[in-house]
Amino acid sequence: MTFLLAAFTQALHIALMLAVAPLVVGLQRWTEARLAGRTGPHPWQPWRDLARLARKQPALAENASPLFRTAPLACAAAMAVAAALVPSFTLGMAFAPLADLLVLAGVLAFGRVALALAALDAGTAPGGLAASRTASLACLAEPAMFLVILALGLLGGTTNLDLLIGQQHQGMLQPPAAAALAAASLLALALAGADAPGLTAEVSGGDLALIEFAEALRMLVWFDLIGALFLPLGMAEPGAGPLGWVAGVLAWAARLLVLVIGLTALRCTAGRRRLDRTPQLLGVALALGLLAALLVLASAVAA
Amino acid sequence: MNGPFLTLLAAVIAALMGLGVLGTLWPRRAREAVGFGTAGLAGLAALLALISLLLDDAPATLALPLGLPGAAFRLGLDPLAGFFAVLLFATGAATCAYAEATDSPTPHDPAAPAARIPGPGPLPVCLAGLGLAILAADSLARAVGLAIAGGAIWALSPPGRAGAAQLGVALLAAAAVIVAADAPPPAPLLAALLGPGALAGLVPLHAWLTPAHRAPAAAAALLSGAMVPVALYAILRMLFDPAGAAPPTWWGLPLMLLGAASVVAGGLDATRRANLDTALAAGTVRQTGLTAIGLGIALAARAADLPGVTAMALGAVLLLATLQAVCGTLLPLVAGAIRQGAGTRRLDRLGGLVHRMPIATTCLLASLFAVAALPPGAGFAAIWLLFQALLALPRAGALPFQLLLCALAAVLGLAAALASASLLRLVGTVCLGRPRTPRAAAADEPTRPARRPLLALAATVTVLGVFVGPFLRLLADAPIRALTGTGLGPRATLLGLAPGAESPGYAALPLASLLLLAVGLVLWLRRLRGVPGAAVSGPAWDDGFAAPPAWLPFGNPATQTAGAAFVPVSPWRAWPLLRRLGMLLRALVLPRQPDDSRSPPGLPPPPDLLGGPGVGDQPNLPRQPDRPTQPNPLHRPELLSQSNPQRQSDRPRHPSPSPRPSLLLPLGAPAVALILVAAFLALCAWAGAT
Repeated sequence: MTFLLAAFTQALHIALMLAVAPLVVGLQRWTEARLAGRTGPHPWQPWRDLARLARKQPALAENASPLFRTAPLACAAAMAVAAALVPSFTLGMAFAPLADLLVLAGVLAFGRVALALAALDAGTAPGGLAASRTASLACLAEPAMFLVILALGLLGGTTNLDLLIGQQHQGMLQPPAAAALAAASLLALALAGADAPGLTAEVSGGDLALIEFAEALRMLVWFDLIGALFLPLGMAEPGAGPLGWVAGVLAWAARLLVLVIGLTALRCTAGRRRLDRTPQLLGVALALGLLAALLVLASAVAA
Repeated sequence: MNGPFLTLLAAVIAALMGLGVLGTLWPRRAREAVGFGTAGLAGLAALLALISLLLDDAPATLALPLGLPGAAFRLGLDPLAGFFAVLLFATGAATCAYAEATDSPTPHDPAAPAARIPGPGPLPVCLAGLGLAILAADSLARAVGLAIAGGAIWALSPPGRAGAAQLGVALLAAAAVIVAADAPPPAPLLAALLGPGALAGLVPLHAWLTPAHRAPAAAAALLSGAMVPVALYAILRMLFDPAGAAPPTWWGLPLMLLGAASVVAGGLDATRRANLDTALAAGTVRQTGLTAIGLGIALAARAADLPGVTAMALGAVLLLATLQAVCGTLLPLVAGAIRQGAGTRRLDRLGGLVHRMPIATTCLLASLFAVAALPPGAGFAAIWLLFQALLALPRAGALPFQLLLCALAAVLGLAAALASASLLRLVGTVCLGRPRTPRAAAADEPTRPARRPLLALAATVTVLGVFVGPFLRLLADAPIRALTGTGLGPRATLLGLAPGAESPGYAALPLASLLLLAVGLVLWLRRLRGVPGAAVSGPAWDDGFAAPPAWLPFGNPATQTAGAAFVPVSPWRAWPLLRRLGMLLRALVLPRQPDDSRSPPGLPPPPDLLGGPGVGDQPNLPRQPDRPTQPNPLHRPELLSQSNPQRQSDRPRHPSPSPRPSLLLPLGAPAVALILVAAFLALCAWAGAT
């Protein structure tokens, strides 16, 4: 029975994540437009775009290899798996034992590498630039991510996402300042990962639809990860019934709404960040992650 | 006690030696027989060692009728020796099969001129020597084995300093093995770092590895796929004495520090070198660094009496050694196949090989994916194990030790990123994109018999990634138990790895199935919707630029990346403050020139330390026309604007109107450094007090 419930919540979670991902992108664009005084596209627009793209016949570059068609599939699959692992409205889903933070980081990296390989395949300048840029930014982002995971692991004694969120839910991740620093670091990583122009320059049709869907999922995974790890209010406990799930879904929607609109507002008011400032954002993420780990260690020494 | 497996393995080693003599005496007539015989014997030896490892045979010893008077060589077979014997002979069999299939020289291969094709002798001799080094029960026999193997690889290498350096390092390792045998405690650590450590490519003595990889494919494969794991085995034997007391905690520190340095140096080199084989050699240095980090963690955890953590770290070490054996064999062989098929090893002359060499591309991708820490590859499992061991280690030391662990966590992240950058760069420039030369556009796959060992190794490493739990449980558990007394136990299961009993971990098999399932679902949905016509093919969009002229048949070479900038060119851009600190330190370290007596003391403008227009303001400052041409090193503009060449070119056009005074200027550079050091010490004291 418990397993059936866990499987059901897992299926519901996956369906919700897949349905909501493009909506989150639409909501971001809509908020951005509204804040700039424009009407903006309807939040459903990304879904319409995806449907339109999926109907189109893909056009390939002349020297595209079989890898060019495989990479979008691999990227979308990786992002779907990542989305299945990050809890949204309830804890204790069927895949909870798989949801390791390092595995999540690895799966996100897998999707990124697959996309960059596809970008290199056509042999054009924008693709090559974007791929090398992705690789070199990852050299700054991955250490920061590992430091954040170290801080969280030291806080909770595990790197399993589900257990960590459960502990945070019960207020056991002490000191809160370290968790806040880790959250800020993750936020900087999410923002820095958001811009990768040129990676999809040669992709079209259904492949482009897959990649855009994967990108939307990636954004949602980041939002969900930060929200669930550091603000798990209203999240249903493993044994909760349908009532708890409904409350969890509502809390999740509220959390996403706050995060998406808040971040978009921040971005609009702070002005557009120049692309060559991304390393500095990653440097900030790294420093925050290091501080979080040091804080945990220092507080453990004090205790 | 005498075991049948040990006797058989000793017989195989003797037979390999005999084949070596045969191949040296009649290099032409015996070539085929020696080639097949070596591959068959190596396969047989691998099978024997595997069976003895699986049966968990009791440790056996055997005295040889050889050796110094009064001190006959002794052989021994315990689980650790069995594990490394499996690695050595299995990958050695693949190398022999490949060498046997490709030993006819091609006239176009510039790296192996037809005049110098080594005879078939050295290959079995090298395998026999390494087998002796693994099975040796005394240090003298191990040293002799290492020396024989070094000599055999030297005979396989092209004449020159690279091969001689390789032989020298092998002899150094042999000497270190002998020295460390009966020396007082800290000596084995030093000997392990400088002897077998150098042979494995650990940082201070890693420079010889790159030129030594420019040998024929089989020699390079033996060097990185057989010699390096055996060197790791020698380190394990020198540092872990199951009978003796655990060494103190600080023994782990040099290993961790040198490992981290190797990871950074090797990883950066692997994403910068201009040739395929040298980039792969640098990757070996990176992997050795990871292994050294694992060894350091294992030593520190053993000293702190954390047997579970020791077992996890040793599991990572054995996994990394396996990876090095399989990928370290496969990658040089693929590089050799590409060099033979496409005529060059330079990245800027290859490209687009996926169309002409799909099998070589698949093998390159599979092996680089396995070492890049991407799930579900084996390299990810190793990094995962190292990280979990790291996470459990802070209990073992005080705050400074814990700070080192934080740095190691960041280094693990960097290793993962550098490995995937290396994957992207090598596969992207060699196999994907447009061909860069006509020769690359007409590349040829390796012959059918040569493909088999390549594909077998690629399949092995892929399966290893998915079934990493069963692999560690079946093969690595017994060696770890023999070394430290505690095995992996519940940390390695059928599904994957876990940091402890009853706790969730990295489930490799379910994760791989989920990924496959997701791919299948997308394909199924696509079918369900109906395919919108087959894909059409046309010229690349390329941001709408016009097609290249007809006299550039492969397009404009300037528009395709040849592997530059896959790592941050100037990582300090992420931390501008740190960059300025670095400039400050460099300025402090450089000797100060005697100043002109006419310039008043303290007046020379120091560099702008906190931003602002930088050194560009020099022209505005009063300057004596007869000033000697040697400026104060503090003012060297190229020093300060190194990371931003743009600024230098901008300078004459936009002289800044007035130098912005910096906050820290009145204090002077040494005072700033002193303040920083004091602040750091205060921070440490505060942390220690609270």
